[in-house]
Amino acid sequence: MRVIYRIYESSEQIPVYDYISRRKLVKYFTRETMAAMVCAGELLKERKPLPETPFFYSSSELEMMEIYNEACSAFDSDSHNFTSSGFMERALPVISPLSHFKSMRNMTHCFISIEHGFKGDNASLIGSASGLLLCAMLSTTARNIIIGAGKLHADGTAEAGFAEVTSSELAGNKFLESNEDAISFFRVYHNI
Amino acid sequence: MAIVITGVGVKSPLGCSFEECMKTLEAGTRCVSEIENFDTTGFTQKAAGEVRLNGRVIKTPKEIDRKAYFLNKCVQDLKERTRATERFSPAEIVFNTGGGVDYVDIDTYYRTRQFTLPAGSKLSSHYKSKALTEEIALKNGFLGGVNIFMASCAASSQAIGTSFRMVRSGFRKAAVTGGSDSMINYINYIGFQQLGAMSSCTNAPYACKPFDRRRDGTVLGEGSIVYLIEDSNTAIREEILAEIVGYASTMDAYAVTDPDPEGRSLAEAISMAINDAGINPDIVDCVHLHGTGTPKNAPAEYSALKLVFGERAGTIPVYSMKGQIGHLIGSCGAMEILGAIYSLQKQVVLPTINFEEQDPSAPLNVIRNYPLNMKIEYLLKTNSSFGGENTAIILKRYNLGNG
Repeated sequence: MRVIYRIYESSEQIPVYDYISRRKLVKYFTRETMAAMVCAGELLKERKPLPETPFFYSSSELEMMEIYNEACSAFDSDSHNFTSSGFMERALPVISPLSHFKSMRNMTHCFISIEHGFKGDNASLIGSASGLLLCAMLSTTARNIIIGAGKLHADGTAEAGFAEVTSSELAGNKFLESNEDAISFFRVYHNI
Repeated sequence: MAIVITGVGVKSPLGCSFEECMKTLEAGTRCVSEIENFDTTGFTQKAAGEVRLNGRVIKTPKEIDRKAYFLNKCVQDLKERTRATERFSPAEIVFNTGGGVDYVDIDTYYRTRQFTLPAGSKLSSHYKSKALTEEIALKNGFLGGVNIFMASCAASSQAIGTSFRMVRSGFRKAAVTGGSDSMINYINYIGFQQLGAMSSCTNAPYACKPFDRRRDGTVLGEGSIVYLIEDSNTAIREEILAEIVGYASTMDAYAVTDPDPEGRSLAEAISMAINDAGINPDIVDCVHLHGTGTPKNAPAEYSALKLVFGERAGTIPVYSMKGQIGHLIGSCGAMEILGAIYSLQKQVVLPTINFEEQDPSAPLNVIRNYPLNMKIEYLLKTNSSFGGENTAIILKRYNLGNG
């Protein structure tokens, strides 16, 4: 089992451009997606996995407060109360459509699948380490499986982990019964 | 041993009980109208399928996250109906549900600028829906794990498919599984409109037209639904609603916003699910498709069916529930399993509401106007997400004489 794990402080640049072929997509990325893209790139460096390779990804916290801050900034110049018509006239024009992409929790899974050509068995979830590992173990394949997890903390810190595993390697793993965030698995195993 | 569905808790545009939903499906009542739960002054589009009881929209205070609120109600109903927590220990029950984008009451957020956890929450997530879902699991004694599947429109079918695998493999004795979502609020409704997926039709009940030549987008719906999935050996046989016999998920890896027009990965998911069920495509009787009403969806689904069923792609009866209730996003697959149960129990394929004109680019056998009575032993249910995830589930009619 090979494990890659990275953590980036809130002010730290994430070197995502070194790990993506379609650079124009980066504007849709949260910091979690960027960190995950780096880890997936490191794991699969100079390799082209089979398209049918199963890929399971588990996310954690969320960056969508950007949308609410964008929407509410339109009301800051005076003391207007929130109204539906006010929302449509003033807030809507300042909400970036990109923020909606960032709020969708399957986007990291999708962007990494596109970058690396994963078309096989999959799931995108917010779940425990147990859920992620069970998804992988129960995948209907005997081949190698890619698992990943990421977490975006409220302060902007982003962490991610990726691993290439087989069902037999996961059998009996203590994280199969763990309700901790899925990223916990990678925090532990990248040091082993 | 068979993996079976033995109970339902539901709060949806069709109604708030299994029986009410069955009656609404049978009647073909249109459950989409202009939004009632919040003020939409200034909105250009107002169509949505909101949760209804006896035909009337259930309204909630703006502080309420409707997807968590209705999910909690569904779980309580399911527990009462199935007595799951009396028959299984807490650690034997896993809670797998499809979810959606988080909800923040923008009115209150504007005034306070505070993003607070749910009242009384002892959990540490900043994703409110996750915290609320975990609390529902704890409160109801489901301690075999909590997983929220987030593959957008395929989320709840991934939840159900994974639950099927967990129970079939013996990792868990039972799964409470389904989905819950509501994007019918300021930010998420408008966000969906900004993504360009929404119908521009202003006649709300007729706005979503799956497979129809005139289709121009989908309509949002909302709702929660959970099922109990267990081994037939533990089930109360008279309460078995249907059998799940196959599941698969694949990824387009094509584009974030559009399906692969050739439907290759969807076809692969269907083939894998059929293989998982140990059957061949010839004995699949009908297909309940994703059928969103968006221009690109129907041709992609037709292409996928052609790859699997060949010439039969134009004759096998197909159906979509979204014309009647809208698109429930994170809970659509779970909700549409209810349509599959209806078909298996009543031995009919329902007409797709608002389908009138066939599209030459997707010449599917869409049932219109009247239900089609036919023998249905195996039914295929598919879903495809914004992002590219595809799911296929094979359901089988459960006969009490089966075993």
